[in-house]
Amino acid sequence: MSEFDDLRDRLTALLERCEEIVVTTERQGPQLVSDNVRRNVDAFALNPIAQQQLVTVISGILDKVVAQTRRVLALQKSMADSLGHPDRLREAAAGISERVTAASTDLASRVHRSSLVAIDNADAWNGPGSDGYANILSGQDDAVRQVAVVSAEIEVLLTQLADNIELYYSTLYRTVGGLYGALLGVAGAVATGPTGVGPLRGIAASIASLIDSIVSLVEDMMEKNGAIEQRLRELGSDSLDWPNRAG
Amino acid sequence: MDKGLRVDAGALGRDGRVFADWSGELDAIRAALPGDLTVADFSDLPGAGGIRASYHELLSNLEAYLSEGSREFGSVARNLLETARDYLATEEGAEAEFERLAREVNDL
Repeated sequence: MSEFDDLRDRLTALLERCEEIVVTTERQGPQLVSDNVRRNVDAFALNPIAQQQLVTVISGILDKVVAQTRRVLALQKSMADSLGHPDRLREAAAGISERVTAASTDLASRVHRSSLVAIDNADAWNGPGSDGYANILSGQDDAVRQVAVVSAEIEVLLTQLADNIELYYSTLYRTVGGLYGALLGVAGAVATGPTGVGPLRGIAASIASLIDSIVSLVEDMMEKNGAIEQRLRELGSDSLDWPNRAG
Repeated sequence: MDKGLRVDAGALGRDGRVFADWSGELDAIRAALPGDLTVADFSDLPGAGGIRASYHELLSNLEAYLSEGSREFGSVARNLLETARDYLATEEGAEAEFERLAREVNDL
């Protein structure tokens, strides 16, 4: 299992745990809020109307936390499923390195007059066509070498993209970790009854800030992807015309 | 053969085979280009499609370039083998070599 596979598995597991907490909170939250407010009410000497108002306020904040969590989770899951596969990109880059860049560099070094007996030896051929043949190699080694130049750049770009994707996954994992920590705090806040209002509001704010983190991540990704796309386009628009000598 | 005209048909044949080998190597390089990367390998997020499209376009250009190079080397190989064959056709006692080159030209 690669490091990336391990990271992706941990991310998936953490997302599932967050989902379980959200489902449990949705199912049991309202009752827990009511029970815990009633259990702690003696310490605050609240009458039944104030007690009900408190339950409504805490339940409202809890609903907001759950709704925000659902939005954040949906974003995180969507990204986890769609960021790309760095191992596959690196595998492709390694294949290009070995079977395209190295092979074309090697071939370019052999496309030389010393490989050809009839060009290298003037006595071998001086009949019609021999003058043209003597010049036929001109530019052919560079034409082969151009393949290596382009493929080496593709290797670099695929590797950069793979590194970026892995970094995005790590960052995404941290934001999911942040969400998980916040959700663990929800249970504690609800358990304290009336005094949980403040912590719950804090948790709602921290979950909302995770959306900003994810937006920043997407913006960074789009900027870096844009630079890679631009370079690929430039390479694609460079003239790739083989010098025609054979006629 | 005219006085002063020198043609080593064997040397032309050998060079023709070298060019044919180079043509084959360019085909092998072209076949090694990884065109099987999928949407999921790059990224499926909105805005990421540009990289995928640019990559495949570049790969397509490179494939066309390598095909062109392979054809070019193949064409040189054919010209050399045909020239060698034609010279051998005028030489007595070179029938076997002529036949061999004729087959090689056909196989290109």
